[in-house]
Amino acid sequence: MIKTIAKKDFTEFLRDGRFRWTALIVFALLLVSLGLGWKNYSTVKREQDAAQADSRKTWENQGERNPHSAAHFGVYAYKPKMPLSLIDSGLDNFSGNSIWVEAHYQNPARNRPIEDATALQRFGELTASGVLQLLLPLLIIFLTFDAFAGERSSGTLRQVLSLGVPRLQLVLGKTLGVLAALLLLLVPATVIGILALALASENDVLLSSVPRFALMCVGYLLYFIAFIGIALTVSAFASNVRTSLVLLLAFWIFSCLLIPRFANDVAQNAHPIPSNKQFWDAVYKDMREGIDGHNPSNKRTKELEEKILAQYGVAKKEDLPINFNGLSLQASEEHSNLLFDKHFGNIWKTHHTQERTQGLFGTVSPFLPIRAFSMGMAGTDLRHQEHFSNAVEQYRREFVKMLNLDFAYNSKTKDDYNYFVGKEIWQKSPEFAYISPATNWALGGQIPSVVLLILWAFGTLGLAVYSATKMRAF
Amino acid sequence: MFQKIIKNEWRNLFAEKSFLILAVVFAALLGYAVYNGSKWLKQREAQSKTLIETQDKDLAEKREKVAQGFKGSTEPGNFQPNPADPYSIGMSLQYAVLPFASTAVFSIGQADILPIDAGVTISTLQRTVADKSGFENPLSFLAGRFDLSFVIVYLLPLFVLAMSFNLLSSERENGTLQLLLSNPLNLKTLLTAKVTAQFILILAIVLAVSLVGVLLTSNTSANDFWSRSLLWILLVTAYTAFWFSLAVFVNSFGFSSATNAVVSSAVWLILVLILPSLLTVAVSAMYPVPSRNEAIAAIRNVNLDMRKDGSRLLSEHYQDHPELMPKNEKLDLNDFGLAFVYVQREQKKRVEEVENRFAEQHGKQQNLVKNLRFLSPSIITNEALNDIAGTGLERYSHFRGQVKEFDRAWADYFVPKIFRLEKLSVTDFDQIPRFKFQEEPFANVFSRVIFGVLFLLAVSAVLMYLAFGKLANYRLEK
Repeated sequence: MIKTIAKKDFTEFLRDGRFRWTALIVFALLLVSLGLGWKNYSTVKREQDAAQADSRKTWENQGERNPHSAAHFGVYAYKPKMPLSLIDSGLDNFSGNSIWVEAHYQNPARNRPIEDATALQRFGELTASGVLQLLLPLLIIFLTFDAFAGERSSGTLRQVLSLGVPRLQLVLGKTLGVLAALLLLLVPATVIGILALALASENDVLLSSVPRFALMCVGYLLYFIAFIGIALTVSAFASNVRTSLVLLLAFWIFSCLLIPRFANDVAQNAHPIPSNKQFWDAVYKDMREGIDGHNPSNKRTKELEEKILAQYGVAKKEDLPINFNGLSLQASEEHSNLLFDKHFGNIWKTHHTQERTQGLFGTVSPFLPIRAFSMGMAGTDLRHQEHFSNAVEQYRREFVKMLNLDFAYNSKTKDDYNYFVGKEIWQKSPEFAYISPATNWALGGQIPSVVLLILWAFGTLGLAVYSATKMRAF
Repeated sequence: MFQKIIKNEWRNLFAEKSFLILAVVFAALLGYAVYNGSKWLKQREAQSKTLIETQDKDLAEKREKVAQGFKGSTEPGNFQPNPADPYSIGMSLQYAVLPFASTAVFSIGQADILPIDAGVTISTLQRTVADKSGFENPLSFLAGRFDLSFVIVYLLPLFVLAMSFNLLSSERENGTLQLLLSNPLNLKTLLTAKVTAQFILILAIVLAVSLVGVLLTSNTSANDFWSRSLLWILLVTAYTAFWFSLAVFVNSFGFSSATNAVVSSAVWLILVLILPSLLTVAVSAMYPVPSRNEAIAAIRNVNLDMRKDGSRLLSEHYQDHPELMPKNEKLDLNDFGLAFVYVQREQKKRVEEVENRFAEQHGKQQNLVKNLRFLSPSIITNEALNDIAGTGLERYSHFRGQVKEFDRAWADYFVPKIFRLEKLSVTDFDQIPRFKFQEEPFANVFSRVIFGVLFLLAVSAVLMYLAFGKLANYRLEK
């Protein structure tokens, strides 16, 4: 029975000129956005990769210098573009794409592409994800708003119900009918998406992107089912076709336009971020006075000096077989690492709290969980940005340590800054290579969105069945 | 007759529950948007205020110390620079802050993204905290703000279309059209009168709610507040007119109400959502913003060169560790200062060259994008709203220009004093350059915005003209 109903609806959609046209337009938009996304992806990827290689080249060819002085010059770490960003660019335009790696300081990611864009960018980017998140629901609404309301006014609903069709089967049949019509356009788009992905990435990256892509598809399927469920529910209890359409469009405006902005402002106001000056003032204070006022810096240096002198059994720094300043630099580095863990940690904590606050609004808008889930799978969300930032920081610590220890153990305190090294050391220093996190990790952060999407999909289907049992036949 | 129809239309609307609900919801959204926007602005303003106050207080304290004859301390563990030393003040980071325009609440625009505090110092900004900013949550830029411009650009058209998609078609479907036209009245007058009635009503709601909100939250005493507000009224009127004339145009085809609804919402979708966001990706794909990476690399090469050069002047570690300077005597301190200032000035000059090259390329790209705004009235309106609110790119680059001048004035004041080994007197303190933003002349804002307004009005006129032409063939019965 389910199959018969689905088949009947599906055939009707195909015969409907309006469906053919809107589906064609949506399909075309999907193609265009995939194409442009692919172009953007490859341009940025090329730029980022080239810049990373260039930064290393400059580093290796900097000539003879003191290792600590070179650590101050540092290198740059560029965020590699994730392949699935061609489908969902997520926060890529809004987050910094490079971090300066230098001695003493952890730096925030800088150069947000949005800073160099015009106001046009604020309308958002029509990526494939945009089409799927914003336009596909509209298509669903157009296909479904008259599912029951229409049959009721034409009188066919009475006939169908008089046959004794169970309401559950009726709802499932209608759902499948819409889904089948959507898949007619989504399956080719997916194939093209995979091709674009294959074209954009090397084999290993492609392989790691496949599970993420598959999960993304599942997420979108749940999202579409949620909208079908809502549309069927409204269609079942709306008194006429017109009311059904108006209510559904209002819901779309509410959940896709109003709530995302509203949620954003609520989250921002509830959990403000310190200004740049506040942040660094706090960091400097901790550097001077020790974390939370414990163990200030001059006391730390003195203790270290006593310890090292005792260890080597000498009375003066100048008599040490090593360079005390190198060790002292590394010690202060290790102290400030703790401090950066605290301060940057707090910033990320606030970001995630804001994200969660926004996420709460996912209970009234299915748009928010799918947006979060899609970005999460594409690797363009906040968590991936943090992952990159942490990876760079990890790298910075190894990089600076290696240079400081070279300085400490290969020179003497009295040579100090007259100690110079060359290419050999620069080449030996670690090179930044970012490994993007595994699918499991990405999925782990999306559990709330997944739960919400599942609730939306099955909750609204359940609601549709319930409304179908309660609905009037005429 | 015309007035009669208008009055009748109003009477009808006020009797209709759905209109009242829609109007109340819309007014509430407008009110919330003004409240929310102004709240954000107040937060930002408070931050800027603290920033300026702290640095003013810092200078005042130094001046006070100089007046008391304090010469600094080199005592170990309590190192304090001489407050009269032009080096330590000149090298310190000063912030030039862009104040919001009096009408900023009209649109937050780019103000959340473009940093409103610009660091100024004798040296390059590298290593100063001004160059280590960017702690805002990227997620906060994704959705955008719920501000007045959002309601105007996105929601106002929906309200207009929801009211007017069935201007004629509903009369025809109710069978009242023929009845109406049996009066001494033609279709053009009827349609014009009906649309005028709705236009006046909606505009009144929009202007009343927004302006009351704006008056409550803005500094109305600023001298360009009223001129900017009038321009805003003009712009919003033109934008509303565009959507109404679009509705008239759609109505003139004589479709059924249902078809009108579909066509109107499709046009809204295309002009407000699809086209702008499609253009965004298209622009980034076809005319990408020049990569910052190259500029970063170039600046780093300058840095490297200067380090090599600088080592001639003084062993380069002193660049990294001014605090490691030899503590014996004044002369060494000055020597170091001189070398460092010299290197930094040279480096800054070359960094500026790199940045200017980037800015030039970037400007070209932006000009190209600017002309694309004529493809959608929403883009025009959005940019114009930002212009009027003073949160667009133009006012920002005006600010950047002034920051550059201030930066020059700052260096011109301190650098010669440093090289002459002078110390600052109390009167010198009073002459230290301070940043004061000179507001962009209103004429500039006007000339940019009026072009968009006229374009919107022209398009509306064309739509009306075409619609009137079509009305001749309008079928009166279903």
